[in-house]
Amino acid sequence: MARVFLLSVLSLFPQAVLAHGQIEGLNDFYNGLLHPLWIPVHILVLLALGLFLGQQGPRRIQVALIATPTAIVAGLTGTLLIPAINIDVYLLIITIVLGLLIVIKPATARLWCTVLAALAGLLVGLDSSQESLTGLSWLVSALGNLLGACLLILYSMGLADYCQGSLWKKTGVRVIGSWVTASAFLVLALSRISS
Amino acid sequence: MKRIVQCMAIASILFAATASAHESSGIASGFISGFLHPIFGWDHVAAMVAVGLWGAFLGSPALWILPVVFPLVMALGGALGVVGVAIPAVETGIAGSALILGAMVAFAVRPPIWVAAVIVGLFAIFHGHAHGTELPNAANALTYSLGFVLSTGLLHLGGIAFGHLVKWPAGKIAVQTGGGLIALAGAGFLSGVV
Repeated sequence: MARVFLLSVLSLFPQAVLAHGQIEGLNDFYNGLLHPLWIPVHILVLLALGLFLGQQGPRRIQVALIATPTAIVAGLTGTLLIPAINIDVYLLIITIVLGLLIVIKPATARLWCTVLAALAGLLVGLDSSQESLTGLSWLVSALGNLLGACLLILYSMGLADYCQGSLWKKTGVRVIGSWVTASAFLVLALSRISS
Repeated sequence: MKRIVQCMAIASILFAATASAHESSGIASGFISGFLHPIFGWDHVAAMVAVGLWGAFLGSPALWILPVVFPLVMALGGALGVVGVAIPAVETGIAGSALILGAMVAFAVRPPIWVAAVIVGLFAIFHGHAHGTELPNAANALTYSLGFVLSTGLLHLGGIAFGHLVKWPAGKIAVQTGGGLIALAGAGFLSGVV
């Protein structure tokens, strides 16, 4: 109760967030931790993935929960080996797929849960290139990035699981899924035109 | 007391100062302009509330099907607007959506769920097209689209919350009256009076 009150008071006085590749004054780990929050498409993908996994329930996502951070690590490592590429299109496509799955809420086989989670994780990792960092700084930032991404997924998983308790809440999650799909689809259309 | 503090928390987060995030893309301004786009159009507001009202009026599963179908089809209309496909009489369609959907609620029309979804989907194309034509001008396309999708969804939610009153006899009258007012507003938009 006190924490909620404090949070509400603190949120009345937020400082401007001047987000870019690295925020001055923050260490590498914290920069990495916040990195997923600076990229709207990452928030969308991770939110959608978390909601999808939360809807499926613990029995179907056991392997996916291991595959996701593994894939993120693989993607982050991949940024060292390949030059930074624009994979927004693929991120948007997977977001659309996950959003639709949230809306329809099918009983998804364990394999497909794992594949989708791994794919999303890999793409997020690949899109998290930090070219200005090398060596230990890169490693620390990447660890923060991994943790930040996993936390976002876990929070939205928790939300989806919590919302399984009533029709209203289940409807709310499906509605969020439709919003995610709609937004991603629109941006994909725009990106196709721009290219 | 706990509820009051929780509401305060939600309100303060919603009204927190703008986060001027990201050096190159105006994330906050894109989100805000997208969020405000439906709200600044009374015809949008009226129709969106009517979708929520009608969904609540029809009950489950329309309660979640209509607010889900609408943004999905709206995205399709938006994509058509983005690519420059002209849809005739978009503003007429938007005004007409308020009239038709309001009338559906006012006269307590209860069609099969697929019919309701088709009607809502049809009008969603017009609304989406109107938003989509603005998308290329947005500071940040993704946050703009997130903004107007969220805004639309919240308007639906308002309609659903109001529509929940149909549980009570007086509430049913209030909801149908609300639908009637929306239909009248739609007629006003169509005729140019409003």
